[in-house]
Amino acid sequence: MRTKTFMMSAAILATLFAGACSKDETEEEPLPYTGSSYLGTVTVLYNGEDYDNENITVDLSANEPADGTLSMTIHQIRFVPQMPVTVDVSIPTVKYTRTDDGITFSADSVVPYSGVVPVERYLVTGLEGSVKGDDCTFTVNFGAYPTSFNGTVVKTTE
Amino acid sequence: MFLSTVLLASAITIQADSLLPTVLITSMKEPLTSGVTAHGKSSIYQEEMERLGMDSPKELSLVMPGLYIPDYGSSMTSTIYHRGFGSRMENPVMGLYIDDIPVPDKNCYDTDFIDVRSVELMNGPQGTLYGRNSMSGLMNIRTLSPDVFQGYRANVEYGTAGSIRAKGSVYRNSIGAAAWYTHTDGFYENTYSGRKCDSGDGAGLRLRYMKTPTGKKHLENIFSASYTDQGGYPYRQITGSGVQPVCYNDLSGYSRLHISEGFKLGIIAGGVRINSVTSLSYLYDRMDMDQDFTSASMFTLMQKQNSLFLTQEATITPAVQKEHWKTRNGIFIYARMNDMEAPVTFKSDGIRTLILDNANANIPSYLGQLSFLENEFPITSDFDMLYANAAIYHESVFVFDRWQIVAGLRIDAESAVMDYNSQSNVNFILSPAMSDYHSMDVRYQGNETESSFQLLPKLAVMHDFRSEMIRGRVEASYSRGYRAGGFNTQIFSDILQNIMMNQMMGLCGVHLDNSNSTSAAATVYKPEFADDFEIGLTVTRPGDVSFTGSVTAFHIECRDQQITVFPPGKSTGRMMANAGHSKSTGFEADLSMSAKDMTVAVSYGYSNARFSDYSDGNNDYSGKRIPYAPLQTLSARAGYTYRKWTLNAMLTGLGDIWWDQANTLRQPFYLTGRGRLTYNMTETLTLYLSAENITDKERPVFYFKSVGNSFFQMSKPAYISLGLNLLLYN
Repeated sequence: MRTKTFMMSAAILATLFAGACSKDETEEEPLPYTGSSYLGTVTVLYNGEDYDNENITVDLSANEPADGTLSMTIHQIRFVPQMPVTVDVSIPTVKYTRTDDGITFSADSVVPYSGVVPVERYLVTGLEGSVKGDDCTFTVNFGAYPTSFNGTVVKTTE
Repeated sequence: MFLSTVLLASAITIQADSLLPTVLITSMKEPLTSGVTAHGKSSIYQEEMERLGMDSPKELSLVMPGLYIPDYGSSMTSTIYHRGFGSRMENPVMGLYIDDIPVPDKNCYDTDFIDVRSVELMNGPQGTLYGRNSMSGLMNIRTLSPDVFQGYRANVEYGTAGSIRAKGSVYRNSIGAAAWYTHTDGFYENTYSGRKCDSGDGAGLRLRYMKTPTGKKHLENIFSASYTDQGGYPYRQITGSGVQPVCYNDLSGYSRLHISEGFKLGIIAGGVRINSVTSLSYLYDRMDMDQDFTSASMFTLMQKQNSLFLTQEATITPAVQKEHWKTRNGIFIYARMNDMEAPVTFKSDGIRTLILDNANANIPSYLGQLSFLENEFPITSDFDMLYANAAIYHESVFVFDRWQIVAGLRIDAESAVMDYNSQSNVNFILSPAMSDYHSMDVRYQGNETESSFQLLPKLAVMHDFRSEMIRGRVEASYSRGYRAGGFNTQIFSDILQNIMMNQMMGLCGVHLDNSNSTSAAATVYKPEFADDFEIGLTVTRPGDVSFTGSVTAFHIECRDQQITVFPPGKSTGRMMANAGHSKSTGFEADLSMSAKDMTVAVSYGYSNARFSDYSDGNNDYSGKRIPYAPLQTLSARAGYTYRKWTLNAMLTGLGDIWWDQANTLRQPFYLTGRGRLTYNMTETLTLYLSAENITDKERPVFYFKSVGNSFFQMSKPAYISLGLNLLLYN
């Protein structure tokens, strides 16, 4: 079981890497707005108050082979101010749907990963979000922490 | 009481070089006019050194005012403090020349004396004539040569701790050959092993050939080699119940091979005198150190280096100097190639406490706990370094009746490059999330450069005065010196350890705050400068009852001071940075008196050295005293000869010494004594009995902290030795 977990984790990392670094070599039309990074603010509802994590990067990357899902990674966030470290949280399977001006996505009851480690404590429920133009927004519950994100695409020059 | 009696009633001959050269051979940087050094200097000659039993450069701090070379660690730790400045790491504040040949590395400074004819300490920056690493002064050692002595010399000595010293030399015609061997069983017991931890052996030889085929040409070749293999580092942990015995479990010691070849050539042609010194040196040394100095298996360091040094220096002076304007021009070239390995091995206790405990304290418990497959692993660090220096200089002395003005300037450029390659491999697991160990390779490779350009001036004004009773000189001078820049090689294992921890935690999706580790670029440090202002007075009263006295007051401003700081991030190490600005104000005084056969000499140095501006990254120490450098040094020495018996005694004082930047730990001023009783059995044989640290009191000679623990090294216990000298003239 643990071997499988690690293999799966490695697969996620490989997928992230491939999504970020290589263009789709399949004949399917590339998914717009994915393989991109979005920079913005993650807000966590904690003890009845909003706790903002500013300048947080969120990566979206279509999974391969294309199965209508993408993976999402939120980098270096704190769920509560008292956390002595920041953590990366990845949601490996997020269903998406194309729209006229982008995509919408959702997920429910997915165990996220911190690096290569599955973290049931932050079970993902009620993920709803979209990419419209340069903007990405979503809301999600990480375990007991209602969380939202508003960000814009990070332009890269090649 | 005994010492006081000796001091008051004793008699020795006045300090002087009793050996006069038969041909004109002098140092290429002898003063252009008699005695005009533009700086205060302290000298000691062979006869007095042998009477006092001084066998190594570290013992010179017993008699040179303002100089302190503590005896701690091993032969590698030749830390020099002078006029309040010094450095435990990297380049020294004082240069060392033996017979005009530079000793290229501080690691070679601690060697045994054999047939040393004189030692001259030139106080204050000697940057104009000597350049790099003569920021606080320069020590010039001259050894016996066949032009001043023809015959045989030998010495055997046995002392406390099974210490043996044997020396022999022969000087015939144009050749001088000297060899020595030393052994000690050691003074400090390591309670972990039950054995002495500082036992050691040393041996060396020097071959000297000199010839003056014509009155206008002089050739000289000096080859020397020495080898040392010893234990060391008898550091004692300080706990709430006091200073604990030496107790460490990992190999600690030092070995060194130093080979030096120097060729001197002097020519008078075309109205100029050209003196040239070419030297080639090879240094191999290896230090092993239990870095935590406890019985725990934390981490060890092995540092091994192969260095090749080349220097070429030449001076040009008029063959016949003008009466009112005397000049000297010089050129200096220096190159050093250094291949160094410095692996740090983390052992079981160190992996647990220094790495895993830190990492796991920051990993949220729901992610699990990190552990390693290895019980120990090395972080290797290899360095290839190349240093090059080139300089030209000029010195003029203008003489107007009793006034003399010395002016000089050195243009000095230095460049250095370092290739570094640090790497490690570990297998780690985050339990229970990961089912198997994950192999991780960490590498840190690249190169860094450092270069600098200096103008090193000096200016001095002197006035001689004379009456029927006394002769004297007053002088005022300004000079600048510098200590070369370099690289913090010792911090690379910390950098790699930091990267390794961040990578492991990154794989777990965890990031520490302020996790940026030191970059290689930050390990480069620049030269350190000192501007020195001093005034001095020297008075001599010749005659049957003679005395010589001198006093020099100085003020030194040190900028871009190379000083240890805490690197940014989570590193536990320290590194050198140009982070400080310091000042030192003080004075040195020497007085020697002679009446017939009786001489008494007293030397005193006072250095009030403080940080003007210094923050180590955690605390601001501006205004605090510079640690390790003594506030005062005192030496009072005397002797008495009665028929075939001679008694010599010396009382030395040292302190206060502050052991930390915060000035919370202080060693008050203290006195120690040594003496030697000599019996001239025949004209050629002399028997002696020596005693050092007569009161047998333990005092701290070094303090430091490692892995949160504090340590002292205490002074060696009383040392008694019996020896026999042989002297035969051809």
